[in-house]
Amino acid sequence: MTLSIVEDKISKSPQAEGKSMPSPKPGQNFGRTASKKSVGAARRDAQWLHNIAERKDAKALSDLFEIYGPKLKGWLMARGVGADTAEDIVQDIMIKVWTKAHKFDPSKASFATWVYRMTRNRWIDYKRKHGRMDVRDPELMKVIADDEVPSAEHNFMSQENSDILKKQIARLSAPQQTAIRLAYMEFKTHKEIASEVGVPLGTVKTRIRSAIQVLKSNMAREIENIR
Amino acid sequence: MSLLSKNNVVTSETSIMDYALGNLSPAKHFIMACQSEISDTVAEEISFQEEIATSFLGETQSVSLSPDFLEEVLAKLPEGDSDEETQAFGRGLAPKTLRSVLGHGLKDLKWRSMVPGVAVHDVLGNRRYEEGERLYLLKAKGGMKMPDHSHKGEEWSLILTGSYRVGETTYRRGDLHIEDDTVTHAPHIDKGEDCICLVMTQGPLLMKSWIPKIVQRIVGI
Repeated sequence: MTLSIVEDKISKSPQAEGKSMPSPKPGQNFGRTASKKSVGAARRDAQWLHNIAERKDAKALSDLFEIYGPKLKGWLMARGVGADTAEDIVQDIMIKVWTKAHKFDPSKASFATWVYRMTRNRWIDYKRKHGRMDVRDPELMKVIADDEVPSAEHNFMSQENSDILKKQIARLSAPQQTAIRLAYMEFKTHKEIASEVGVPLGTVKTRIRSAIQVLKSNMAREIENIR
Repeated sequence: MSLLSKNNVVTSETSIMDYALGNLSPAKHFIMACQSEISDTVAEEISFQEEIATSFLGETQSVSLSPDFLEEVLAKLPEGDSDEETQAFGRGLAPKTLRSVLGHGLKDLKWRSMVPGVAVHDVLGNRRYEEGERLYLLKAKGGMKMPDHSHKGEEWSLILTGSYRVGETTYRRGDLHIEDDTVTHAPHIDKGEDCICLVMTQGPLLMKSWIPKIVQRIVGI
């Protein structure tokens, strides 16, 4: 085991004004760019969240999940969750959004990231319940599954920057894109990626690490340019 | 396993990615959540990777919801907002994630003495299980040397107070120390402050000498 020191290149979160968020079409590949449509989608989401928080607008919640529900269910099923359980989880998330919409701040995070975190944590909760672990404290998973909207200082990007990220992913080298895609979309371990791509494990780690570093520094530069 | 230090916090690059993607076990996920509260750099790194994961969520194959799904959920919506996670449980050295589970901070913990100078407090999992992960707090008195031990699987230790040395490396507050089953180690607690760690182990520790083995039978770990 080696201990290496790496330079910290992470920037602080910029304050966002205009918002954009991912709203790609299913099956769409790399090379997406920011569009008026996605900017509009983010504003629309923020408006729905506002309506839920202020007016307890159930129609807004239903509209949100008509869009996000199938994506979240698809993500969960890709993780190996059965269809019924996936819907149970999406239901829990929907109720959380309903009761916590007042905590959502579009200047700090996109709704997509918020709902992703909640779904992921609920999935961890699911793994615990179906694993061997004892429940020492029933409150535990309430905590793990309870996701606050992240604070601005911990949030590298806000909504307007997610399209920039997509653009930057499209600019990675083909091997880097493949490694990132297998890790982030197919949830493959580094070892599985190595075997699938046919390269040594160390190469996969290097590709992923360098891809993330490139994304980070390019993102920081682009955001700086925008400012 | 690669370890790297960021802003003087030792962490695991792979674990950050696995946390963002939801690949970690519940106990490891909990430890990473705690580390991200102590280290802004780890939190930012996780946030960045969550943003990447979110952008890929858009490309995930959608699966239609059942026809009556939305209608049924709307019929179940509770009245009022939820503020449950805002309960603060005070401030202190314990990350909020941990305080929320304990219901209080570190200073109000009821410790169970293991040997003189060493005490434990279960957080999740049963230490007496032969297999499976357990998550607990371990407190060791400043200056003492822990018994030589190895593990059946991995041992993750997030340092909350104090510090300890293993060989040439010193682990301090916010550092995540990961060892696998190939290593036998005997952390030496630095003099002064008690060292409190949030520890995840997979299966019981394997003690090298007979005295800790007997103690282990009595108290677990």
